[in-house]
Amino acid sequence: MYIDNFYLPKSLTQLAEALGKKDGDTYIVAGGTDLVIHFSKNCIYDYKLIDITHIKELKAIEEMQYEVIIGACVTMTEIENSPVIDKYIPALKTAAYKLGSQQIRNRATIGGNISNSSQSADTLPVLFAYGAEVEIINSKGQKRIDKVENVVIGLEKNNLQKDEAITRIIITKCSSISAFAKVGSRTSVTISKVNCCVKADANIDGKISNAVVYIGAVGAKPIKAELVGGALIDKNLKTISISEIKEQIQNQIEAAIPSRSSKYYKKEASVGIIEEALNNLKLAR
Amino acid sequence: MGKLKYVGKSILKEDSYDKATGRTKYVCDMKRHNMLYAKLVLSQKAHADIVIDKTEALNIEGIEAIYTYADVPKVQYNSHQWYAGATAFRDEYLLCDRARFVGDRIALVVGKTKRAVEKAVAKLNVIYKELNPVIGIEAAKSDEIIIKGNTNLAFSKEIFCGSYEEQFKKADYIIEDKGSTQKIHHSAIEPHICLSELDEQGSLTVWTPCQIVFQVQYHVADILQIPYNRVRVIKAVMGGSFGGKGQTVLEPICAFAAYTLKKPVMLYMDRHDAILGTRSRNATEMIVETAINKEGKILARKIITDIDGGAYYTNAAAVTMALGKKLFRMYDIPDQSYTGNAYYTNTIPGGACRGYGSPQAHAVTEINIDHAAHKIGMDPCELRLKNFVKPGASDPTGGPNIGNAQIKECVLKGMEAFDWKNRRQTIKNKNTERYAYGVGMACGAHGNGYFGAFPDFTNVEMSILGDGSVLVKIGIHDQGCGTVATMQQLAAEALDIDTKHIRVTEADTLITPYDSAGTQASRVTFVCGGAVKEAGEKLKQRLINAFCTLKEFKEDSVETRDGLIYRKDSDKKYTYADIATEFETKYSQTMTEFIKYQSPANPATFAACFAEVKVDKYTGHVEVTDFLAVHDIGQSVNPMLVEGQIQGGAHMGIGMALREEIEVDNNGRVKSTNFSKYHLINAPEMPEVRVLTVEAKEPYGPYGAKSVGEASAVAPPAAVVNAINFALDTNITTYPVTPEKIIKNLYRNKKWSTQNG
Repeated sequence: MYIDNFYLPKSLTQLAEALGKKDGDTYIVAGGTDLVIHFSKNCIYDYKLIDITHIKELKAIEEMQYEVIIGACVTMTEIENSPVIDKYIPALKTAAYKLGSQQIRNRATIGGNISNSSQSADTLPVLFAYGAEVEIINSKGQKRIDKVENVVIGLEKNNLQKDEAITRIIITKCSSISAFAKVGSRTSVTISKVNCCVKADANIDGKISNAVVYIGAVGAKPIKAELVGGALIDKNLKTISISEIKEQIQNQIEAAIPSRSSKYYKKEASVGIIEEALNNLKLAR
Repeated sequence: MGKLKYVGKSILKEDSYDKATGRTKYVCDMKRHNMLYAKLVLSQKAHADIVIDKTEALNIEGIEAIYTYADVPKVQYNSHQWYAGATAFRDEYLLCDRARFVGDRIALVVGKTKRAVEKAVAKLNVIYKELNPVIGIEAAKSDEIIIKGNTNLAFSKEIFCGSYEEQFKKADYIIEDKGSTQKIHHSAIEPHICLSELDEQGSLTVWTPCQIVFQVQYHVADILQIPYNRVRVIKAVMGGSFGGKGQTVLEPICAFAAYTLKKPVMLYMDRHDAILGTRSRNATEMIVETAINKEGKILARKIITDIDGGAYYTNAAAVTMALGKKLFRMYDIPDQSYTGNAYYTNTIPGGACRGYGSPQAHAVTEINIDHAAHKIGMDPCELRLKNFVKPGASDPTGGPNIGNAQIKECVLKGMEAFDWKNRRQTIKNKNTERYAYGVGMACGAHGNGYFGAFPDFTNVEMSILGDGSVLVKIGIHDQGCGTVATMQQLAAEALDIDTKHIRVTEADTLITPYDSAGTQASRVTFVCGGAVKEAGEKLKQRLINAFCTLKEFKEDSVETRDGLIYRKDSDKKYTYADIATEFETKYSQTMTEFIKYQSPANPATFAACFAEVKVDKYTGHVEVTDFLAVHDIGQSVNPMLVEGQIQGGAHMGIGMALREEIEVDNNGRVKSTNFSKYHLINAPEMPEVRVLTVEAKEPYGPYGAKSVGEASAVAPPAAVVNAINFALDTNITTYPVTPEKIIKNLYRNKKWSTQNG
């Protein structure tokens, strides 16, 4: 499992061992789609790697009685194709599908998307909206659980200790419906200029009783759009028009990035993506 | 002219399977014994004096040499100058001690491995003594900071015919538009690369995916002060150019390193380097004033174009002239004035980019034509139809005859195929609260080589060998467009022998005859193709003469067909090989012709493009939902390749309209240094591009053919923007029309838009 500057743990025990040897030049790699770019951008030529993709426990999507558990090394393509995800976290399926190109999605992992903590990460608004948690292992083999929203600091920073690694993502099952939408510089293979997740509970007639909205890329990490979520309550999914909540959406963006010149565009574009998300929710209902 | 057998057929080009399956070897796949790798260190500052401390970088294991300004010959050159006679201001060194743009060559690191080289590049201690940079045309014009000499104005020229002032007085309307076009990266998938070594005789060999081997030979020899005949330049397999590999950026410094170190050196770039450290399409700002009468006749036009020439002179004069000349060749405007000014700025130098000024020339003027039509309530196609040049028209500024211009036919054909009138009337019925729909069109003109401006000729040696196979030695550079296939088809037609028997060389200064101007300027099908046709016809005549002499037949009793020659009334058929061999045996001569072909003309080539767009008024996204391109190409040599060219041109054109831009900030830094930030249109965003051709035969073109590859990138940008303007009732004139720009235009009366400038 250890060759000079390359660790290849095959179990969580071996991972803990490797984490014990991790120094400032050691990086955890799964898909590598962000890490390789990080290396070349920062002219990093000498490094050690812990490749976690050979640990079986990190590669499965499991449906438990109360939770859906996603291994840190599950790829976007696997999420996109999973019936369990489709059933319980539909917005995550869309977010995974809309991330990068097919080649990227074949390798990029959910653990990587969380730990890379980019401000425009596509799975984060969904994970935040579902209150998802992560299981984290350290060099002693101890595990701790924390909210994704806490782990992610944003702007490519997270709160993991040097000897820690994300192992699994835990999402409590619920009957909510959800949708994800994004806008980038083009319609596909694009980095989000703004993205969103709308998660809601609606009765059979379409009346919304509860709504959680997160908007991404308008700050270091996705923000909870309380104004928008609040405005959706008691609205009917079947008849709602975007004009009814447009003001709240724009106020939310204004509050999030009052001094950024990109707010003028994002205020309009957010209306577009939330309408798209609501349209998708209508279809889900 | 009889029925064509090979010209006009969609023959698969020879390299298709190898390229599609990854078997093709490019320069980056080449390996030489003891080969070293090299990478340029590019300036991170737009305007700065440079001091370099090599100590630390030289200590990295595997580093062979690090060159800076102090080490290179102090010979200035102009990377655009393609032969000694095309004089242009020389202001570049192999490596500089004053950086003039972010991306300027300041050092070359050579080492045994790429890893060592890249480490040393990162470690090299560069001390910048910063100077204020000149960014953008406005700053250049002010001359507050001067980059070199005593003004930033590098070149200025007026081209005119008649007197526009007189006509402006008589006009019912004068329609003015002010617009701009952006800096564009060529985005060839193969980044720039070059390999040099010394051969057994100590002469230099340079492999490069380039567009003119003789230009590379000239610069390498001139800078290293060695004879031309000691420099062999071989055009390597190329992964795209689009004009981006037209100037000698890497070859002279790579050759210098190989020559100095006496070892093979491969100089390679990644995308970051290719975007910053090579060339870009010139950005422009244009003011157009068009005088029309109520009936839609254009009376006169005045155009002022300012061109961002970048940090070095390169093509400042050439692109200013090329851009201007096109404006006199599509509409019949007797009184017109064009003033072009090229300025130095501390940004990426300008270079050829598919269309060479024509996309810029038509970008704003074609929006202006739609604006004029709108002003008088006329259909924009109808207004254009009233004003197009006629076939055989002369150039009002004294340039070469416009040739068999079929632009009117293109528009008529396009209107019918696109159902233009109906769609223009009804498209907006599809509008919703969120989406606006529109259709628009635009036209464009381009040329066929250098005739009328610069020497335009090529030499060809064509032989029928002992086995009947044909070798065509000509200095062409296939950029992936199928240039070799095109020449094979033209030779096959002239010789009446199947293309599979014909080998056409690519340029190699040691083995292919001299070619005056390289594979650029849309000259290859028209000029080099003309040469191949003439050589083929002469060679076939030589074969017939030989046959008649050997067999004592009369010429009019003899016929050729599919590689066989025979007397019409006889069943006895001879192969070309039979005659070539018998001729050699009996007369001690080869079946070879060598011709020196001068281009006889430079007609214009035209296109009309039609686009439908769906604009998302919330996100500002534009989807091009339908696209039709109608091209006046004289005669299609290979319809499949023609279609591919036009689709590719539409792709680049839509990119220019909507997305692509090298954005430079006030300090001269570029953010878009990779493809996640430099936004090309990708496959899911491309509409199906429908292609129609008008093939009315160009009198001086081989079998009537004229150019298409560059011309296909000229009309699409304005067609898309005109469709957007129709959809939104706007008059956007600045490229690219990004989502942000659309949103800004839609809500321009709202408070935020004033805040946002």
